[in-house]
Amino acid sequence: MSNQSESPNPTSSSNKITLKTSDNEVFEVEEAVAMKFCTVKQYFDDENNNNVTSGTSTTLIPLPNVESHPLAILITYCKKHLEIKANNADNKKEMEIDMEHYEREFLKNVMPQELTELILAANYLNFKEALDFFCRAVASAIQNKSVEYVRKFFGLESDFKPGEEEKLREEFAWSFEGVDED
Amino acid sequence: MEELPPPLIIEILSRLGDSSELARCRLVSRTLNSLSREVSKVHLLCTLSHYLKSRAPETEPPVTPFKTIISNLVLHRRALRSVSIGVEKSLRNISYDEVEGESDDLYLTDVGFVNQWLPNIGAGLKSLSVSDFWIQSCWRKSEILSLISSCCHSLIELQVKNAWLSVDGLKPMPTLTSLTLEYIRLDDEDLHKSYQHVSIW
Repeated sequence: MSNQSESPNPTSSSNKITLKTSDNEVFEVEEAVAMKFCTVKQYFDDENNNNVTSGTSTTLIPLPNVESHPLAILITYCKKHLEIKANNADNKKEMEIDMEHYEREFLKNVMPQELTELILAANYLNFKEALDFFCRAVASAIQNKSVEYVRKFFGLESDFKPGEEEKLREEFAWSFEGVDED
Repeated sequence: MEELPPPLIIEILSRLGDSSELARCRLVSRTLNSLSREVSKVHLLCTLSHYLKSRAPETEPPVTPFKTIISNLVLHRRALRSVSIGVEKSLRNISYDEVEGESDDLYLTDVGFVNQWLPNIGAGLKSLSVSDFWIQSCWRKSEILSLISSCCHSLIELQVKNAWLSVDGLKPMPTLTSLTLEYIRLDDEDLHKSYQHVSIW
């Protein structure tokens, strides 16, 4: 008998799934954590369906587009996410407060350049909550910032033709109210 | 960040606070300029500072009128799903005698103004919110509901605040599930009859 559907709490589920990253690192994670990565879940479900007749089960899932560094961070985030959810199962408001608090602390340890690989990894794994969180983090990092700051942050150079940028600056002059100093 | 594929950059841009943030991003590079047009929402409030500047004759260069800003932001943007425009709450403290008589620069439920852009984008809209400037709107009866109901066939959420609304020509809006009317002067008390399936707040 499988108990996976009755126990969303990761600590009570003993099933482990092994993930292998593009740089050949192997991560053993609780099934509940792995199932938050929809790409893994899809792979897992497909494999299980294929193996019904042969009776074998897959334990190793390759992730050719994810490196170990972002994966480790995503697993930590996911575990905490599930834990907060389980602790506040009947109180959505409390859950949101706990989650916000955790996310604020979490971002203190993430460098801006890491956000890019985290977004790419969360997107590949189809881990929706993390993708939303990291996109929000980038958006709030460039909130109220000057054009020059955002360029630096994104690693972009102005590629407008001469005159083009001036024209846009004129058109959007109204949007420069209340911008922070760099 | 430059290595992110366009759909992910759009995800980020969609999470910016409002359309002034997005407008500044358009100046960053040509890529961001074109991707910002894919964002499916326009959310903008007229700030107190914008209001005051627009009232100060010495402002150089003159500020773009709020209605012009909105028209330019929404025009030909058929991919828009959500439009939310209004005046900041701080403008509610402005008293009548400070306001020059006939101004309608912030009369946002003005059908003439909304008619310039809503027919063009209305079919795709899921959510529309207009929070009007009471001093200019309270004495002008608006037929905006009739216009909205004839342009926005898939609207789910509608919110109108601080306005005088007529229900003349109002058509049924079968997709609407949320209607919020706040601080509204309404010339017809039968709204409930035509909108029994909608929760009116």
